Amino acid sequence: MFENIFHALGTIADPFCLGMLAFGVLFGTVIGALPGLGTAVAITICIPFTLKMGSGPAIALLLGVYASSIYGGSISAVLLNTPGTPQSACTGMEGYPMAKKGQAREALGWVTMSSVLGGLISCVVLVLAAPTLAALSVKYGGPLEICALICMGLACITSLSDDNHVKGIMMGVAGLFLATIGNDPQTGEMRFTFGSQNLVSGIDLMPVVVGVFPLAELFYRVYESFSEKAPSVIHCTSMKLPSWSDWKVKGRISNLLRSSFLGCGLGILPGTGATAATFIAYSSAKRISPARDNFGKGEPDGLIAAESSNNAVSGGALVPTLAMGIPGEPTMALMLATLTLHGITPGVRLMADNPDIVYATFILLIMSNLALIPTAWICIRGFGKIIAFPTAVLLGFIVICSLIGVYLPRSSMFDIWVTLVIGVVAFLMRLTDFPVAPLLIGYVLSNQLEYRMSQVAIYMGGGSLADYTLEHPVAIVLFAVALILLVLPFFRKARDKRTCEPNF
Amino acid sequence: MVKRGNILAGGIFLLIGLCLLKVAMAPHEMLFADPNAMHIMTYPKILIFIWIGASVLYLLGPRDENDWYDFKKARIQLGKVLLCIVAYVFTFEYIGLFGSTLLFLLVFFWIMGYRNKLTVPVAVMVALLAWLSFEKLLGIPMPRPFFLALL
Repeated sequence: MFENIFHALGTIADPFCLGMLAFGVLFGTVIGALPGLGTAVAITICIPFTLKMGSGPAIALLLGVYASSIYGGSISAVLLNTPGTPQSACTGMEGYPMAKKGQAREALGWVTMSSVLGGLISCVVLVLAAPTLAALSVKYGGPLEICALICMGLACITSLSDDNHVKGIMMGVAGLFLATIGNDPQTGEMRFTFGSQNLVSGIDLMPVVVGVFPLAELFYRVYESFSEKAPSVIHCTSMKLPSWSDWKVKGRISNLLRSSFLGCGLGILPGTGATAATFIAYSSAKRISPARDNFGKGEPDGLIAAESSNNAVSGGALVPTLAMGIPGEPTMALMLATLTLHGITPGVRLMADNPDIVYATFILLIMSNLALIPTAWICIRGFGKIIAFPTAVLLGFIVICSLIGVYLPRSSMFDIWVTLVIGVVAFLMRLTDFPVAPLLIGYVLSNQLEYRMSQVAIYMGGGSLADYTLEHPVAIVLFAVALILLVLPFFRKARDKRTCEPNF
Repeated sequence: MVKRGNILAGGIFLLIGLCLLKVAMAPHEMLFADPNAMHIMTYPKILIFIWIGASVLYLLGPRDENDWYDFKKARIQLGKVLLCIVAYVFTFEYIGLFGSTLLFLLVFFWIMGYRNKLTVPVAVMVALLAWLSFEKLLGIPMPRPFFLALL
């Protein structure tokens, strides 16, 4: 282990790599602070720049952006009452009332320290859990088990489509199907190319990512600009970090630990993500905290719960991504895709073949969280300028970076046209409440799912699928969980409908 | 009105599924595969069947209650932005990165209402930044402007 840590330190002890980390943290905080642009957009903008870098600086840049963009959203939640990212919604409920009472510096201090501590706790969980999960995967991870795990992950993600569960399933299937276009990875034969040479090598990842996130976001921003009201900014140029005596107030440390572990746990589960973690941790603190009566009026306990949980998700979400190559949320799918572009395939073999990369990821995530404190000073000081940045210039820059990012990997104009089509479709889907996260995760996992299914077919050797499945109890349990997750929302909806119907 | 929208969308989804199923059902001979290997169309067929099933459920399910009022207000602006990006992609191939980016930014800023004395300098700066970082710093080959070949 120590040898791996030293190797990892050797990989990242490079001024360029550290520079990329610092830039990533700053860039992520700024983009996060701008309402509407989230982590996924920030990471997508950075992907083209990573293509010509080594794997170390590329991971440093993306992890920096990932760890800091959620925090950035909290600054605008406190000073503007407009969360920069959905994960910061609860922060605004406590931070903005504090800022209105003239305690903006204190609120920002609590937000910063809770974010950093939550992130660091999640790093500890990541360091302990990822190798253990990878070892378990080696022991139980046959092709059928991996198939079942992917199905369970997708079922988890689609089951979270609150309004219409069917929409989540449709988007997941659409993502899985998009990846089947082009030549079959096993046999090289063509599928769904309709005679087009451009489709022979399939639809690349970048058009899907850029279409689903930055481009759809651009259209959405234009659409929203018709109903937006200009928010009022609370002027604050510094923060006051909480002292030890502030932390010693009854229930605060336990609140921090509980919310951080909750964030980690929910981060490991596919589909839940930082937004769900924040709301669960916040409502749990609201129930348990000794200061629960002050919630909603500017209570630091609420800030601790919201911020430590949403930042703790970062470490948790990396656990299944690194250990099994199965991303639990769209941003993790982007990270996974970028690692693949760099020739690194996350999963069970990564732990054995490239332990230096794994340990470098651990160390870089810890450093990203620590770098939040100095970055916070800079960003809070310049927040007025960040918010005043013209939207048109920002959106124009995003379009340019995104489209060039699509062009780079294959120098193909066709990819740009595909991006435009996907962007328009994704925007319309978003307008009609179709969730886009299952589409991207389905796309990323599709090849692995098909490959594992073809492995199962060969291992069966012409025998029956039922007999083969019965020999794999772990897979049976995972398939059962997936089925329950898929069917449960339908039952719940039917029950709700029954209870709502008036009795005559 | 809302119901009609649901039927239209569901119908389109169903039609897409049926068309894809027709393609997947066409005979495909696998030349170089293990006799026990899964057929190349088995996996897509499974997905298409799930898609068709979900489309039917969508058609029969609860009606969407989307408010299209804002969309109707914004559609002209959205159309302009989309056209602007389409024009950018067209010009990108013929006049290169710098020229197309500059043109795109000027038109985009104008559409988005960013019109002041800084518009042109900002557009030139961003275009220059994109050209420097992608073409010069990262050394990525971009389409060459057509007029360079005439010189």
